[in-house]
Amino acid sequence: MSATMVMTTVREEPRVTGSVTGPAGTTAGLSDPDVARAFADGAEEALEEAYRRWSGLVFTVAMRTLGNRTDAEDVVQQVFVAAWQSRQKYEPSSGSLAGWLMGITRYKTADLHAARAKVVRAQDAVERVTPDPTEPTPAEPVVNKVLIADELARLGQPQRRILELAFYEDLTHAQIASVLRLPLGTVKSHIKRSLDKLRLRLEVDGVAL
Amino acid sequence: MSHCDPETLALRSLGERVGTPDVDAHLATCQECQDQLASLGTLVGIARTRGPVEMQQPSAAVWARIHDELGLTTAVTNRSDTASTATPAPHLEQDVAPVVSLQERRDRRARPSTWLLAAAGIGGIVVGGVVTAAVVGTDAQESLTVASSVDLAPLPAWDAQGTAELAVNAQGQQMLVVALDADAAASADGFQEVWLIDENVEGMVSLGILEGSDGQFVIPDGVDVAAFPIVDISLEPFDGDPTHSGDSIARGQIEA
Repeated sequence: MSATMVMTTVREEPRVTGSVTGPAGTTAGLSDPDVARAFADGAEEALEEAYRRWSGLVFTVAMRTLGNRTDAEDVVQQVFVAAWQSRQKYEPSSGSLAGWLMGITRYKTADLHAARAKVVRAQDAVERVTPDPTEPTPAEPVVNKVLIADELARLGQPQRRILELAFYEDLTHAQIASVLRLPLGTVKSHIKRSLDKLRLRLEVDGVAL
Repeated sequence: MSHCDPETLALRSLGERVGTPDVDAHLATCQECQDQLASLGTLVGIARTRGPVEMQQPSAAVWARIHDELGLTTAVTNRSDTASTATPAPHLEQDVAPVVSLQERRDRRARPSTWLLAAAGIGGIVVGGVVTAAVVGTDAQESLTVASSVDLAPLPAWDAQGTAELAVNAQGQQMLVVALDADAAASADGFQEVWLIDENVEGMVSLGILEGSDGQFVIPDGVDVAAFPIVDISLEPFDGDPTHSGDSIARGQIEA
């Protein structure tokens, strides 16, 4: 739990020259575990805050899995409605609320997949083709990948930019230091600390690897 | 040898061939370092597979539908601005000028509702050794533990005196408490903005707008004050340009 607190104490983004961040909510100063406990206790404000913090995660995972905006928004609605209605089953001490929402998201996207497969099977039956209803949904890697993107977005600068260059542009730390005109040691320590943050986020909210 | 340097392992997980032959020799025999490298490598692999993900937000109507379906009370807004904007999409380059008032965010944060205070377990608790500083511009009071203080000295052409204090608030957030007496405070030509700047005066982070002569600013979690030790108050014209105007009123350097 202490690890969770470390991760979630501050959710405000630094505004580095030229970049933009969205407005934080009225409850922005609250830690994720605080929101989770209030949610479990049935505070509607906590549901609203949970939606504010994690609907983007749920939606992005659903979009990546289903590829359709209407379906993905249906999943978001189903996930938050189901989460609220079954909040007695959520135990804050046994895991993060974001992780629990991710679990529900996987069920709901899998349900939609299954519903689609049924339609496909019906068509296949007509065509005498053997269906494969067991085609796995890619939700597990998607969840972790989206969590990484979300945590990257929260890193602040120059940490975010440093990791983007390392991940997606394949630059070495020396090249990054040169491009961003930062000391080598600064880049190295940012890389190390940011990777630790991402890993911790996956441990707290992600699907076990 | 002792365990591998964590920064070396981090770079190796990204595929860089760094470190002396000692590192390879140690890695060959140390399960702990192998596990470290493997878990970081897994993380990097997930991040790199099929490129970056752009975070997306559902439309505002979705929250309204949830609000309706669950029959939530009117105490919880069903307005569209509830739709999450707390997670901005990652952008490799800057896009547009900011329109979000940081002061407004701070003001809203300074007045958590009572259930939040109860949930956080922080209502009314004052830790020993804590000083209480008035929050200018709000009706709230916040307990701050001051870690260090630095004098702000005027730059040429300015007549200004002030202090900046590095502090920690009751939620554990790092704060910068600024007090500045400057004739720019009443200027109609612009506004005062508070920055943290690195020692090369190249990289900088805006903490927000200083209204009047006193203000408190949350230092975001990812910002290392040791890397941005210079406190700088600038006069910014109303030109919509989010970058530093180059017109600094006063500065001081925080000692790490």
